[in-house]
Amino acid sequence: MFHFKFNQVFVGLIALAFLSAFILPPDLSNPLRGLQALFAPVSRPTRAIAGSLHDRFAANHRDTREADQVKDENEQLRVLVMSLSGQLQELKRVANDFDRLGDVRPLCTRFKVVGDDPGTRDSIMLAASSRDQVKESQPVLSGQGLVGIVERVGQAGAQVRLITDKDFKVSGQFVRFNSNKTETREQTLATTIPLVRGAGKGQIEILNIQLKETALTDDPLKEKVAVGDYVKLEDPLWPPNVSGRLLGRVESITQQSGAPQHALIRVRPLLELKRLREVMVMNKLDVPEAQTAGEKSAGTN
Amino acid sequence: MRLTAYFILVYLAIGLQIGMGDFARVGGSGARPDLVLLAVIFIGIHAPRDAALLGAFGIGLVKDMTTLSPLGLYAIAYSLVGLFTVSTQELVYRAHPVTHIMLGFAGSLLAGAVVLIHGWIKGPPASLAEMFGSALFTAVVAPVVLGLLNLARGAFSFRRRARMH
Repeated sequence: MFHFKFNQVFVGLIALAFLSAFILPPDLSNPLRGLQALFAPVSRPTRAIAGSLHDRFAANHRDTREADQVKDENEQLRVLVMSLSGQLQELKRVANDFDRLGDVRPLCTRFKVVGDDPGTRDSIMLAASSRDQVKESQPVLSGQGLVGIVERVGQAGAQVRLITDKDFKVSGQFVRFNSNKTETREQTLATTIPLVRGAGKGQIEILNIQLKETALTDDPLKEKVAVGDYVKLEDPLWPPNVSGRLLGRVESITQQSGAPQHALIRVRPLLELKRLREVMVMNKLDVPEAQTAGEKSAGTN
Repeated sequence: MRLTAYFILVYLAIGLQIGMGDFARVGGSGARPDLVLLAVIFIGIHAPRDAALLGAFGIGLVKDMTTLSPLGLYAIAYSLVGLFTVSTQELVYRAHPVTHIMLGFAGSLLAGAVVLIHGWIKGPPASLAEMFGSALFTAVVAPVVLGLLNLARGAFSFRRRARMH
């Protein structure tokens, strides 16, 4: 008969945890994890309350405009509201943010976000399960662009790796939107293919663009990447329908400290991805496993 | 320790942490309080040693199920916090706010160190500034959270093993 003392059992548990965390591949334990939606009864109201409190107090906190500037803006907005009122009926048709998804809308299902990563990573949890036809590696979208990829899914929840997570990598393309009074034209910038990777804390970064391809240098012969340009997904390993989805907007361009010939381009998604309340999962498209982005991410890690 | 109360505590702590999420971040480092860690400390300062250690491990394991980090990381981190807290049981005044602040800060640093080491070894690296900021933030809210939990201490039926003299 074996008699285990508590200390032996505890050390055994710690050893198993160490094995799982530091040695075994993380995917191995994924089937055991999928409890995210179980916490929805607590996390969803908490999120709603925290979100409304944040909206109420944070907006005032950030506003540093002068009073005159606010008055001018109010005047402009009054004119704008008047001109827009005639278009209200048309706008109602596209009021739902997800109508902006366009042709992929029928391939997607909307899911509520129950919370974000309680640890240090960039992920969100969905009230979705494998019974909803949600599978690993399916793209997750919002009306403003790509949100991330389904990392794992179980009977009681799904976890989405955001495009800002440090393990997220895709290739993309720089684009610039030139607007005039009648139309907005998209211009693709002829640069090296940017390798886009999550940087954590709600940011994305691009490290492989040479300084001479950016607006930091003043070579007038080339179209340079500048602050305010957009980055969109252009990756053959992702489903073609998702190609061209926006990843974010260039926020800053600086010289890399370790590689002076290259730029450090910081990109911010168009939305605060961790604060989304609903997302669309592209779960009605049968993507061959080999073409999924999940494999690419795994391959590049 | 009454298991029902323990499970409710784990459920609420993790549910609140998930829901509060990014909205609770402050400062440039993106620090946020770790309510789950405070639940570990609450168990650690009140429960008998064995129950406290198993409880800390269990809370970490449940948190592991809801994060992108590999399974076992927070189980190890919170077990170490549990060990540290249990070791201070006889040395500190459990209901004193200063105790809560110190344990919240030290516990956060300890758990953060495990996450940082994991990041350095396996990647992606975690942010030192965020960890330190979160430790400070957790320490600040610790007296409030642990004070509230102390009010519900009776529901846990913590019992200490009688000392042999």
